[in-house]
Amino acid sequence: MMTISSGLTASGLAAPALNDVLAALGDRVAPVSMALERTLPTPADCADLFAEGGLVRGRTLSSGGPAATSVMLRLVAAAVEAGGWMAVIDVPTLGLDAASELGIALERVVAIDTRRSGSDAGERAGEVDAAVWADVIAAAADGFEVLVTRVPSDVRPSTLRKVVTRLQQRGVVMMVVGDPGPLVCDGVIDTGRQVWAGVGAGWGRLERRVVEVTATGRRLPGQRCRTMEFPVPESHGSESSESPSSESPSSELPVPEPSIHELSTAS
Amino acid sequence: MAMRMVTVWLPDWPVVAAGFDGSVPAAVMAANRVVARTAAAAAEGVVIGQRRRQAQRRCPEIELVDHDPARDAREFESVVRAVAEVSPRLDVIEPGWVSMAARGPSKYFGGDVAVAEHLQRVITEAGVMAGVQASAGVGVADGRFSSSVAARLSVRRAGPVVVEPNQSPAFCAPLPIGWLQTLGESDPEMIDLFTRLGLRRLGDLAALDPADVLGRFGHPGVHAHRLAAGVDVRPSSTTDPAPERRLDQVLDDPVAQASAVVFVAKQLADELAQSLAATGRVCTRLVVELETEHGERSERSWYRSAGMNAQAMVERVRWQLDAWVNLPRGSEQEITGGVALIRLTPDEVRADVGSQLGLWGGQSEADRQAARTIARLTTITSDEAVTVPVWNGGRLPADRYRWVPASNVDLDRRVRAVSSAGTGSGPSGPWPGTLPAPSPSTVFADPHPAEVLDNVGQPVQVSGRGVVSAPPARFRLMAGDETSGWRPGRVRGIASWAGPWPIDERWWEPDGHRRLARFQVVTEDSDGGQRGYLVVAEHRQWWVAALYD
Repeated sequence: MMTISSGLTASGLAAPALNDVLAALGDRVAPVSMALERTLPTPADCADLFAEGGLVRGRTLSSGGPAATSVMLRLVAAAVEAGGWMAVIDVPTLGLDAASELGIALERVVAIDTRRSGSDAGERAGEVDAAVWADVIAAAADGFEVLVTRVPSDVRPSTLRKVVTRLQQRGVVMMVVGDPGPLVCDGVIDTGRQVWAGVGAGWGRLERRVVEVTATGRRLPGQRCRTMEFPVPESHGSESSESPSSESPSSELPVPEPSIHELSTAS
Repeated sequence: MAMRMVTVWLPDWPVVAAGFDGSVPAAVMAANRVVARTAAAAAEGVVIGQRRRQAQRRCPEIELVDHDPARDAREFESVVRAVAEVSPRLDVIEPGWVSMAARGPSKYFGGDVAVAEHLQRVITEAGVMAGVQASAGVGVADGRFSSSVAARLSVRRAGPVVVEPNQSPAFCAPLPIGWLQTLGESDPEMIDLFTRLGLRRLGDLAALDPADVLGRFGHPGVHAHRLAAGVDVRPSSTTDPAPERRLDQVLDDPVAQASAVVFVAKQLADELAQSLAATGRVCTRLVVELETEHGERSERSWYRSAGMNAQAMVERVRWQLDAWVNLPRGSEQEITGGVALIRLTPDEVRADVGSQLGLWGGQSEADRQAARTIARLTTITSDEAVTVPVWNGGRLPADRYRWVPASNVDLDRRVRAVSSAGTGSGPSGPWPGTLPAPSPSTVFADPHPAEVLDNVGQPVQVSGRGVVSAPPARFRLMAGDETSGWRPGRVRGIASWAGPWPIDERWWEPDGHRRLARFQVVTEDSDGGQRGYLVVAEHRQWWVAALYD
């Protein structure tokens, strides 16, 4: 597998670089730094998205773009693998196979659907009650290390402040899927561009991809970019060499290298 | 020759500590299982180990409370103090379970039976003082295991059970082998194996040659064999007082917060567990001493046959501290100042043969915390709202897992339920034709309609033989949802695609029969960014099953 340096922002290099230097200096002179205590286990290739070298406990992050869910799962996978529990709140679409392939231990995943709370569950299905949502988040912060959720659009800012304070007290990382709405996240993970490899015009299959990831936000000084590679996982699909159906001729055709040059020259 | 021991056992202590009277049906739950219940609940058919739902079915008016080990330990302090009047050197095994050497008290009170009866009386009185309904079983026998069994039998026989010296093997022999599991000495798998091999009574196991047991079952087997034969847990030769291993910490600045004391204790416990582990030993009896700046002391000896890791030691310090802080006003050694000294002494160590069990079946603190939180979330929302995934299997992403209410499952036995490998799946598993990894990270439970068009704008069709009418060129994902209606979304150009991979499922079932073809489609935006979709054609309709986002 090919590795590439994160030299993607050639055009806007000067300002972020200066910011990075300042941020690094700021970290060095900061008085309290029990960084290891405060960060969740983060995979090595994602660590440099954050000035602290990892995902800091108590933060809220949102992720967007064409590879939002995979990048988010990948960021928290190490924490769940290391024994933490993950609550998936109001995200019924989360792909568990993908989570498992990225290293998340599914036996420590719990889903909570706030729309099915109370006795009148059937009647108002479809609407998330912001108050119930806030209660659930606050309670889940006691026992889970990672929360994956959607923010209801009608939640009040005062409620949100309470929720965020609670998360900071308990040191829980909340990952927001989709539009964070009124919540101002500490960090925004933006998956700008992704390029798939392994599939062509009627042959092959989705195999590898390269994703350009940018971390910004009020708690993340500067703008940190890097490209993330998603290699072919080895879990349940380890019959990967053969195609799922005999009608696809992918096994005979050569699989091209991912078109990374295309990615690195663009933008 | 095993030491003669007295064991005191208070049945269903957690439910007594929770303040329930025996006449009210109530139970204490941990990880969705009953750990203790009142006599009234037992009469209704609620048994230990039952799931929440089963218990509620047997007895709908049952009151359920969550397990709180700290509460158990706190309430137990009055009993420990009462027993300490009889014999100061006692080991607390867990709240509700104390053992001590029989020799001294027995001589003082004039015989084992006299001690046992005295203890029962003293404990009942202490319970009345503390406002709980404590009734104790007391057993006297050679060795801790035999005396613990005797204590538990004594609850049923409503009187102390005293096994004459050297009669422990004969006493144990006719008892079912499940006692080893009940007392937490062997794990359920081992007992299950013994039972299947026809060793149904402790005597059957004891009759085997120890060398054979070691060869077949390893150290856990030898441990079980030794107990079944009425011999004490440890051969006396491995006793190691190890005074040099005593660890203490004098706090120059006495601390009044329990959490700070526990924090210091954690450092000591880590150090102690590490130094013991370095020589391949584990502590089975730990003496915890706490002293305040005003000279009040609290000393307790904690015993655990499986050995204590650092976490178990810290837990015991926490229990002890909690009980101490909550002493009634005016009692002896009442805490009046900050804690100035913490000392951990490993009083009894043994070789660690790798039989270290977690307190509740190998669960970590995080697991227990999560189990408590899940119970709380269930009460905030509903049983159906809090779910955990279970492997189901299937060729479409949405079929592969199903969600079951967390209140119906064992949270600590989940690994098999979610792993596709546990069901024999995998490369040659029962789902040939599944798309290989990477799997989509967003999966729609209900079909999300879409349009796949060729380069002249006509919908692409897939024939029954899996032939595409024209190469897909454009892709449109519908916006909106089922209730408010679907609106046409943005059209994206298809950069590459693969498929079709047909599925012809359940053709033997008129209602369940499905024929469909799967495609992977990669669209490209004007800036070159790509998006992956798993698209399905079924009955001339296109829908998106999942996103590779």
